[in-house]
Amino acid sequence: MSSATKIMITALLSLGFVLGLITLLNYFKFESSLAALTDRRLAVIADNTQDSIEAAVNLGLNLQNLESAPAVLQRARAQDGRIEALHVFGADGRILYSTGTGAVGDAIDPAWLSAARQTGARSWRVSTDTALVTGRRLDSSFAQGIGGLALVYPVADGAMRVAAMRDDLIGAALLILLAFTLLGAVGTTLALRHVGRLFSGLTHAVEDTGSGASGSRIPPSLQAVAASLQTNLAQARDQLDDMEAILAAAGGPDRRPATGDAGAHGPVVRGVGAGE
Amino acid sequence: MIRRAAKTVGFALLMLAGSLGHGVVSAQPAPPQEPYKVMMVLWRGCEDACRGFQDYLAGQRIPVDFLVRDVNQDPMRFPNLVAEARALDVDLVMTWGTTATLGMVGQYDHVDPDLHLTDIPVVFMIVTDPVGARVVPDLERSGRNVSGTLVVVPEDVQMRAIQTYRPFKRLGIIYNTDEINAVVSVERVRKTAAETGLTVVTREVPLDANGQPDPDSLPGLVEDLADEVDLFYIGSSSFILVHRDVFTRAALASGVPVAAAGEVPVVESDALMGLVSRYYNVGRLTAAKAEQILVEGKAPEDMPIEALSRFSFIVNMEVAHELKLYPPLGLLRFAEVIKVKQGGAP
Amino acid sequence: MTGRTTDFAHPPAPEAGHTDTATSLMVRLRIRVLIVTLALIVGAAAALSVVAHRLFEQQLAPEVTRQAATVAEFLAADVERALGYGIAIEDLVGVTEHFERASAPHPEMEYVALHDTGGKLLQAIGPKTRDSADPAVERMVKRQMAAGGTGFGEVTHTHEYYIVMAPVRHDGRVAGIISIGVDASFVQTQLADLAYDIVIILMVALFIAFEILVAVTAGVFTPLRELYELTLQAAAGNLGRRVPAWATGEAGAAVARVNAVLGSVQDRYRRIAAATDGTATALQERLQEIGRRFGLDRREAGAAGRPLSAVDARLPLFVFVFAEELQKSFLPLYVKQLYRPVDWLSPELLIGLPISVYMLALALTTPFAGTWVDRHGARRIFTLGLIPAVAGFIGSAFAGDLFQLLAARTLTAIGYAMITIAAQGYIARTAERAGRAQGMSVFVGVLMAGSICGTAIGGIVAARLGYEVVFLFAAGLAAFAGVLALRMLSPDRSPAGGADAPARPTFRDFATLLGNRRFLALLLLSAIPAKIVLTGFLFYAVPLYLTDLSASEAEIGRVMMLYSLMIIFVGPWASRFADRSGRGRMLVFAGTLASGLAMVLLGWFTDFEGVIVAVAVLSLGHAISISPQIALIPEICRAEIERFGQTTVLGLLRMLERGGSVLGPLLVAYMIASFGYAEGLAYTGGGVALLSLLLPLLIGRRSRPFGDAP
Repeated sequence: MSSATKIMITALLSLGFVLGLITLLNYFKFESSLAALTDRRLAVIADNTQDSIEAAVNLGLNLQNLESAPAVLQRARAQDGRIEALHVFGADGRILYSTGTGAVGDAIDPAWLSAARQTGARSWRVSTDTALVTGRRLDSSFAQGIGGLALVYPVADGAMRVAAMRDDLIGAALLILLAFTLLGAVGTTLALRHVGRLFSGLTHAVEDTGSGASGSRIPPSLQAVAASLQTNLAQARDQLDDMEAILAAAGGPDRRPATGDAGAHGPVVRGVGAGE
Repeated sequence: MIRRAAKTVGFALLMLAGSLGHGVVSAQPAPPQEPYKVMMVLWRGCEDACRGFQDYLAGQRIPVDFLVRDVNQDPMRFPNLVAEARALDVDLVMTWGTTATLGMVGQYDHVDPDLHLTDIPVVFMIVTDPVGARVVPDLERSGRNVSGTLVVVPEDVQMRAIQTYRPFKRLGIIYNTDEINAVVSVERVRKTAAETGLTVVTREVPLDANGQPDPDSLPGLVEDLADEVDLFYIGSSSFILVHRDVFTRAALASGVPVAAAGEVPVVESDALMGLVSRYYNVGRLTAAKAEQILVEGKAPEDMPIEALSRFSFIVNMEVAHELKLYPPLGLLRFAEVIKVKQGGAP
Repeated sequence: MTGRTTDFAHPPAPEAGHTDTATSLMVRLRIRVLIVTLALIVGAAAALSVVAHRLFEQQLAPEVTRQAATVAEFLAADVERALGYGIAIEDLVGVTEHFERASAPHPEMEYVALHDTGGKLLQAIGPKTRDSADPAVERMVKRQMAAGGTGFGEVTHTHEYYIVMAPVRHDGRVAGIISIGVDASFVQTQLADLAYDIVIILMVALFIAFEILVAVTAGVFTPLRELYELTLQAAAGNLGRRVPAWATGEAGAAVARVNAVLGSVQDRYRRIAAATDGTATALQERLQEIGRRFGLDRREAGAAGRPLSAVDARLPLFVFVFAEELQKSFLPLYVKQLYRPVDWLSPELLIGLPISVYMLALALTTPFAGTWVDRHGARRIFTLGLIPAVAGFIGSAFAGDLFQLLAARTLTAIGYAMITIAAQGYIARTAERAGRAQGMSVFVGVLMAGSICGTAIGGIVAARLGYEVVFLFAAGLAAFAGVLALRMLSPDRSPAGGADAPARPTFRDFATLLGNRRFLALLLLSAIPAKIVLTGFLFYAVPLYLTDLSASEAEIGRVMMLYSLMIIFVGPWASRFADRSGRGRMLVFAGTLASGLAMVLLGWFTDFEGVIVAVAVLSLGHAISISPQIALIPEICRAEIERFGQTTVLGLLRMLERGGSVLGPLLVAYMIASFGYAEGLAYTGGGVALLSLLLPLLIGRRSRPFGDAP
């Protein structure tokens, strides 16, 4: 693997890490922003409905026989067509009024009742897999918790929008990753073109075969170095050649090195030497 | 008592299920419930508090036979009623007003078991000052077979409510000094007024030749004080309550609004507003106490004597129009607006 | 460019010159690679943020206006009620207060206004109230009226607002209009908090990229530098060297080819040398002459194997520290979540316990870890250390109660001690040439970089996915660090008890050292208080206190990260300043005082910003005082150093100051339990600051011989 590729992969890994985390953060942010906005809007509706019902109770009406309650609930529901249902339930957890037909008389989800009883505050909240329930405690002029109000909002819609946003974000991140991968390939190649050239230049500077063609493969910046290196190499080889010649003359042919090293390089050395 | 309570709950559930027309399948049919016997001792007929008491118990689906006894302002009839209650073996006696309550149970330190109920639990309502009248020694715990509810709205709550209408600065009170209630009330107002930055200006009602407070002096007093204050306050003073029409009309003529501590001056006269315990709700609260004694088996001597936790803010729209002094928009969500001309509130 | 050409045109003769040229070339190349990486990452992050912003606006803007419409309708109903009581629309009272209350939970609503049917503004609230009197709004109302009021509910978009309107009906006619102006840049504001997180992520990414690049480029740039150096030397006449042949790929091929050329010359020289053995002296002298002339008479070692390099240990250590620091921003919160009351300890102390126990386990394991590394080698101890560490992370994730968590954290502490000591040992062994101090600065730098990244990312992840997930993530990362260590660390086994290995301190060493009054003063008045402030305030109290101020884990991570940032960026500067100016003791004093005063500040500034300032001041204090503190040791413990050696004395200081780390959370917890957050922290800081005032008195004298030393 070339060094440029390695470095490019590193850069891309970092890029992927950053894009991945930013996608994740944006996704979470969208989820929480949407949930907060929905919560606040539902709170406005729940608060107003609670006010209306308690005002009627404080006129001295029993929660059990509030004639205006169904109308109050319908009006609240008209604020947002996506509201699944609004229920008013008594302290025992039985639904007294509801926007849903047939719900009256049923017991509310025990989870809502326990949430409503647990929190000392006037509002409670239960979220299940399918619905977000915004609840309010109903008080009369002398008793707390004479009943409760529950606003049921389906999560499917929100979940769908969050999922759509997730897909959009991932798509965008992938496209950007692709685009920047290309850019990165170009960038690292440009930034590292010297590295490759240095390697080959240095190799050629040392290996220079003097064939003429190789000279052009040595970057201009290295040519002076290559020249003096080759001079040194040539001189060293010349002198070693001389030594070998002397030894051969003195000790006979069996002392000559078996390899053709000197032979192979002989012409080169001479070539360079002649050039000087 | 406990067995009876259990029966009641069973019965209540049956009633609930039946009335809603739902097939809640009971494991066994509930035994027929014998209704509670509750004697209601009234001072002057069955008004709002009395109805609130009855409606609450009916709403809770508690079976009750009401034995309504209206003494029609005749204090001589109480000993007979005590005897009757014993003879009929009633489960609970409810009394309306200070006189009826004292007539049935006596002052806590002067109880005569022959004349007063000790063996049957009693709940009282519409007693202005139960401790001062010696019905009970302490509001936390009566220590006798008696419990009940309060009707007066505390002065500090009154002052705060008044301030939500407008940031009034100077409060005028006219009262007569021989009424202890009135004097005490003025003292309390002064105390809380100091904390809220209100200035309190008072006038005492002069006595006439007979040594009685003089009602004819009221218009003059109101007119005189109107220059110094921007609101009149009617606390608990029987004298002013009796002469409420004169008083509130004089104030209206001077262009100064009147706030009252009870509903009568607003509903029946020309006071602008009042933060009040609606008698109907007091009746319901009293019935809730009765329910605790009858159904839950609580002992009256251990039950605190409480006021409503929420009061009604009544606004007299006719007066508001006349004074061009309208309630703020936010208050309208909670206020009970009365005497609206034409169509009325939605 | 010209500069480099000149370098090559005149090949410098001295060897040092070669190294410099080659090194500076490599530095330039590395910087270029980093810049390219940075530009890529920032560009991509910016592009994705822009796209995300677009998507958000599309989705959230209608949601925001729908909410405003709901509020408008309820307000219209309130006005309708008042009109129903016979109050004329001009006579309404308390409208602004009511609007104020209704819009208080919705900061995006810039104004809420009531208009009459002619569009004239009657009443309005909000910071941009005046804008609701804009003629444009008036025209819009008129248009709606002309259309018979059927168009209400539609959103009008001006460049600054989304405007929603609701009609007030009375007697079957429209009697007025409620209008609400929603800040059109609300969606932007929602995204503003993300900006911090994204900057943090970018920074972390750069640290990570840097660490990976250092590791990756080492395989390229080190051979390149060596090759280049070799070429320059050969050009200068020295043909006797070769390049260590361990690199692979392109670099390896080049190295092999160059080595082959030079090797052939060197081999010939050696063969001839062998052949001349026993021949005429003149011949031998001539050969020696050639050897000297071309540097062939020296035989360089290390040409074959790969040398140990500090770089090897960087990435595994970084990844492991990253994993371990993930929990820092929320550990006390996690403890609080697991907390069940016990009757023998107050809740505050109980919550501080895991940090203290961790520090204690760390302190107790460290000396053993040193022995193990000496005996079994750094690579083996590093990987063995991962076993308790990973077990600890997994145990922390599934801890059912506080005591299981304590056990798990103890395991992690043992692993942490083994791994950091192993890495330190590895780096120390490789750094012999370049100087140990530089090696140690690499070590500390990696610790701090890991700490920054871990703390920040841990906070962000915890805020979204929960604490348990973070611990599992840490386990995975730590395992990955093990893989890296196996691949990157060379097997090593140093001769046991090498010359440099510090002798184990004995009890007598402790006694002698503690008899040194100035050492004792430095320990008790600066070193231990510093650790108390670090573990007690920063690690224990800051997460709890910030949570009390309703900060998220991500925000806590950001605040705590300040510490490592300050140490990384200010620390080296302070240490250089201390060396140059000789004012080390002043920095120690000022730093300790500052760290105490930082906590005192909290007595007055009890909000989020106050905590940030306190952490910043504390970090600055530590950044300027910690390395000068160590630098003071040779000066105040001259006699002891002569007897036991500097390493032992420093080791003893480290060991003793860990007492402060253990004590810190418990002490601060006790103070908080007694006085509450603000006061408890302020008193603790006050104590530290007061104690530090004694420092100049007790170690204030400068001893001349060392003061004059370079």
